[in-house]
Amino acid sequence: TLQVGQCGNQIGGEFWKQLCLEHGIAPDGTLVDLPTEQQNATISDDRKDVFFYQSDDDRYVPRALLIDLEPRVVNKVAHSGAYKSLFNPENLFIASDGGGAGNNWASGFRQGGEHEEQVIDMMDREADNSDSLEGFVLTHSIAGGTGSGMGSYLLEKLQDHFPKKLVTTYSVFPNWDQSQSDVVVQPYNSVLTLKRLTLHADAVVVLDNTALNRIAEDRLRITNPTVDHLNSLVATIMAASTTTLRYPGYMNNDLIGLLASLIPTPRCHFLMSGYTPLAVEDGAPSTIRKTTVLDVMRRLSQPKNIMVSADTRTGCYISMLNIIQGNDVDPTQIHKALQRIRERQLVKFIPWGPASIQAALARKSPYLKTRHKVSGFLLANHTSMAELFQTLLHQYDVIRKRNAFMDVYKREPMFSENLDEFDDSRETVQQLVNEYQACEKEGYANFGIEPNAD
Amino acid sequence: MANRDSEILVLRECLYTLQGMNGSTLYFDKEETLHIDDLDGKFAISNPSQSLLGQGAEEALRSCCQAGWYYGRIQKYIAKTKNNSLSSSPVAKALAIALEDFLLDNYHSLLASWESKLDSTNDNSESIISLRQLVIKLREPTQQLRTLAVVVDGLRGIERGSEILTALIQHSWHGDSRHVKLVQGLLQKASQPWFDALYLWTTQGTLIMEQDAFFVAKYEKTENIERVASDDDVLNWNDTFVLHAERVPVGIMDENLIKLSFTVGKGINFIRHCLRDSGWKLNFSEHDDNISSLAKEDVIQENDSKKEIFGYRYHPPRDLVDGQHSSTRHKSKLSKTLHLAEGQINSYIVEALRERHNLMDHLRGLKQFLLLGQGDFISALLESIYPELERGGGGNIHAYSLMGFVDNALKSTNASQLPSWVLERLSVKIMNENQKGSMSRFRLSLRGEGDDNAWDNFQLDYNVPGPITAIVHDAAMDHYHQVFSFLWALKRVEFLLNLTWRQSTNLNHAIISFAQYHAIKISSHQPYAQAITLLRRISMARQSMMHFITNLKSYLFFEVLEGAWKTLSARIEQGDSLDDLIQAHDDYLKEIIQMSLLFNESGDASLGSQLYCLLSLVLKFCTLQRYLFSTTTKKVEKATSLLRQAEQRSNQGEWGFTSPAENDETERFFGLSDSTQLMQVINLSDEFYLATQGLLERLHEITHGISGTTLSSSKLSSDSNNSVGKIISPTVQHDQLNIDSLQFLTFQLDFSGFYKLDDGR
Repeated sequence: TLQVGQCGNQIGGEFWKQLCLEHGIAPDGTLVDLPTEQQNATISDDRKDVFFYQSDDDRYVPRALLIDLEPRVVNKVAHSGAYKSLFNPENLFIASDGGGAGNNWASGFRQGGEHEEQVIDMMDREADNSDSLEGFVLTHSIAGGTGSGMGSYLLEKLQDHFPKKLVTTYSVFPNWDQSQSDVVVQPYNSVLTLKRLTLHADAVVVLDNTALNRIAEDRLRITNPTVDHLNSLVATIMAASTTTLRYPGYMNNDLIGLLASLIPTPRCHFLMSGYTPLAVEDGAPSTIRKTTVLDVMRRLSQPKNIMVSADTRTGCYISMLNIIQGNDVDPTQIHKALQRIRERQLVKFIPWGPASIQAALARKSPYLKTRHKVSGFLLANHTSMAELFQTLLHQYDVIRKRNAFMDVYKREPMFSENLDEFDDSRETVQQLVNEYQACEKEGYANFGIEPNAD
Repeated sequence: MANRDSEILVLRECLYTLQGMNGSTLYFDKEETLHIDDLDGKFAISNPSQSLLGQGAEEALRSCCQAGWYYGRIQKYIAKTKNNSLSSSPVAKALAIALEDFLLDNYHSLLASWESKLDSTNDNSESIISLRQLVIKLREPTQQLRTLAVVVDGLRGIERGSEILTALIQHSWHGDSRHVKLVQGLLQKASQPWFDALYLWTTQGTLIMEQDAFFVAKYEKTENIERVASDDDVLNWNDTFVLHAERVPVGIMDENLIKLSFTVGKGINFIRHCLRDSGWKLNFSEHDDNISSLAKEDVIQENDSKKEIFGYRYHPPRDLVDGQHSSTRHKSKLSKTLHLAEGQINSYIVEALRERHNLMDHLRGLKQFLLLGQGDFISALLESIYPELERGGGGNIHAYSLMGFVDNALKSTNASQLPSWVLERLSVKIMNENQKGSMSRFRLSLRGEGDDNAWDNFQLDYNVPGPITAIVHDAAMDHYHQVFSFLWALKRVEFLLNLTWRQSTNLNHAIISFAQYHAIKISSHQPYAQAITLLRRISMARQSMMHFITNLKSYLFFEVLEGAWKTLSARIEQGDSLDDLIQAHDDYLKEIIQMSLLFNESGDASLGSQLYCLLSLVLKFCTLQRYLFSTTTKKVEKATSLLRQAEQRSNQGEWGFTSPAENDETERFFGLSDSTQLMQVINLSDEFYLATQGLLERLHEITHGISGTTLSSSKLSSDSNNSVGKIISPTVQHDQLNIDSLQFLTFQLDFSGFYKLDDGR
């Protein structure tokens, strides 16, 4: 895992916390005994080695790099937090000047280049440490400076250095429509990052702050959700999306199998996620719902549970994966649920190829006590993702027209001569939007052959 | 007194005759014809009126001779049996001894007493014996001798003990109670060797009688059982002994009891040899209520009391008067014993298998490895072994080199957490032509690749340890291998698809980067558009294939394997006998094979061949892609390095131009803008579409129980009633569960209605 920037490190930290909980790893990396009532149950069949490796003294150490250009968050996660002794201190990278990137993509990008050698060294070391490295996971936000700028830089470099490895990102999209965003230039940063995500990442799990906020407020009834609340949501998602890797079963035991079926066409690799039933740690007491497989699966297909502000009622699903977590889930329940969903036509699929809801079963961690018998996680590739990008482009256009706040960017070498990179990025994102839109149509195969097909 | 003297003479002659000896006057010639030589005319047989002995003398003599003749027959049988003591069966010997004893007790003593009377000088009239008296006294022994002689005669040519007993028992079904008593007396003694054998078999599991005497025999193929038993792996529950129920003497045990005793002996053998518990014994000790109550009930005889108590004794159907058939009581005694033994044996075996021999662990191991349950292990294995298997078939692939990959995959995945006794059983086998066995493997070689494709021949093997082979027998292993070959083919195809996905993602990235670098106007650049279209076409074809594979996989794993496994676990948990366990496991495999669509339907329309067709299309697609991409990827790599150099040059302040060759490549987009390739991909994907549709239709037919032909004919003649509801597939009987899951598979495969089968529903 590469955690870049303030946001990236925050959600990364939460992610590891969640993983530790699920695998029964104490904050210092040692193993926790199973809860007594389950001790004589089956032998532990989780794979801790997917995300951890064992140090010489048998402690579990996360395979994680914590990278930031300013020390605050990394220090909080790795030096003062409860899990401070979990991480390998060699894996912390904080730029020596500690100045941060000032929410400037270009600055982050430039500094990425400056620190390239050091960071790549760390990545190499971690990569050599893994027996079978399948890919990298990058957590970052696309709006800030470090996560977006340096993250983008790292994305490009990752592809150069490890062309055969999969790069998955968990990218936090900024909060736009509530005008409470603290960074005015975030549309610039976002578009610039999106270009890299489009071109250099293999899969992007989109975590939309707007939607997260909405879910926290509507579903969890938390007024004014804090960043911690949201991060905990994100951690839940991240942990859930990796369950099939961590709890090996028949299927989806490797990243590539998971992604390959989700992302049929390489360009459309932006995934939305959903989780139900949601509960935030020490959050407001969410009412305990009846959880049947049908309920869970139906709720997963409802737009309000999806962590992207896009209306999944329009457009169509390119692919959809439901991971049902729970012990003793009967496959026939899933049949019935799927049948019902189909009868009611709750989900719409692409017209140009066969598609269906994939349901995967995963066990629950024995370390976690949940109030719900069944929980479900959704990972879907949906054409309405384009809406999100469209909104982004729109906001970008608004400030770009005025050439607002360009000074900070012009100071950086990349933009010192011209602003082509901006236009180029916009073009890439626009193409992405077009591609998604074409996906909804039957003639997708011929998209792009005749100019102006759309 | 002359009369008396001659009478004594005659009586002496008679006594000789009665002992089967020839006297001077009365004798049998070689043809066993009676001769009475009255040379001296003493007997005046020819002229009864002058006879010293009076009328009826000849008849009296004849009756004496008759008894003698019977006696002779019996003695002959005894002598013959004794002389051939090597070849005659224990039962025959026992019978001979019984006959001898009988004669000694009943007949010889009689003769002896007469003889002494003849010899005695005492003229006490009471002790004087006359020919008349003799005849009268002889009447009963003669009857007995007659019976015995008939029996013995009937046994001529019958060697096998059980047949002797059968004959005897049949003789005992006689209306004359004296006759019955006599034969039963013999029977009791003669049957003892047989019951001894039964006793040994059912308590020690040993066979003492020769091959064909007892109703249990060693299986021909495993004659040298000692060697085999000491060998680790073989010794099969079902092939070691054979039951010849027809060899059980009639009327001793009913069919159930025969089976029971067979199972008991087999069980003891299993425990002693397969479970290696040679010291194990059945426990009939007194504290057991059944037996102790039996012991009190019966008169305990001295030596054989145990056998008697346990019912290893022939009990004649006596006491018919009080209405209780004692033979039923006897049977129940034996059956009580056997049932008790069976209970002990079964619970011991089942527990030993479950507990000490880790039955469930091994079954799980089989499932995790041979049925690909250990997903992470299989993924890791595929990843590492892929280049090796891809490299080619032929004889240059060796099981031991592949085993290295397996070991590594074991180490690096969670499979390493399985118990060591499971892991050490795993091995690799290369299945070649002559090893294939009876079961047909699922082979996925493309045309021209021949039969020695390394992928198809690769087989994970599980060396099932000693006692477990009883359950996971060779035929079961064949089934495992068959299912493995299918799942492995599926995994292979899936893996290749993922690989091409990877390649095509990379290519896509590369192409877009190049397009940007060269500032190609995307909307107007023809080769670029073509390349992108090709890639998209490939992606779309792959997507439909992946969709198919994923759904098929989830059907197989979640519906078929998990479902069957659950049933199996429950049945193993509940089973009380080895036979139950074997049956449960056999059913488990049968269910898997049936539901994996591998059942042996014949013809082109069979699901198996349709599956094959689909999978080989996918394989073809992957091969095409790999061919396409391998050249392209090389070109891309070259171009990238050229690009790097150009960048470096430009960084050094020189001209950052690229070589003309590279520009040329970019123009044609690494050969991706080739329309024939596009056509190939489109054709393949069309073919796949049709094949999937075909499969779906077939599935639809099966799940709806109406054959395609009837369906169409019912469309043609909708008013005729007879076309409705014709149930097809008499060859394949799908039960309801099966149909439900198949229906689900059908429904999942066409979830979005892409294959347009909805009209039929």
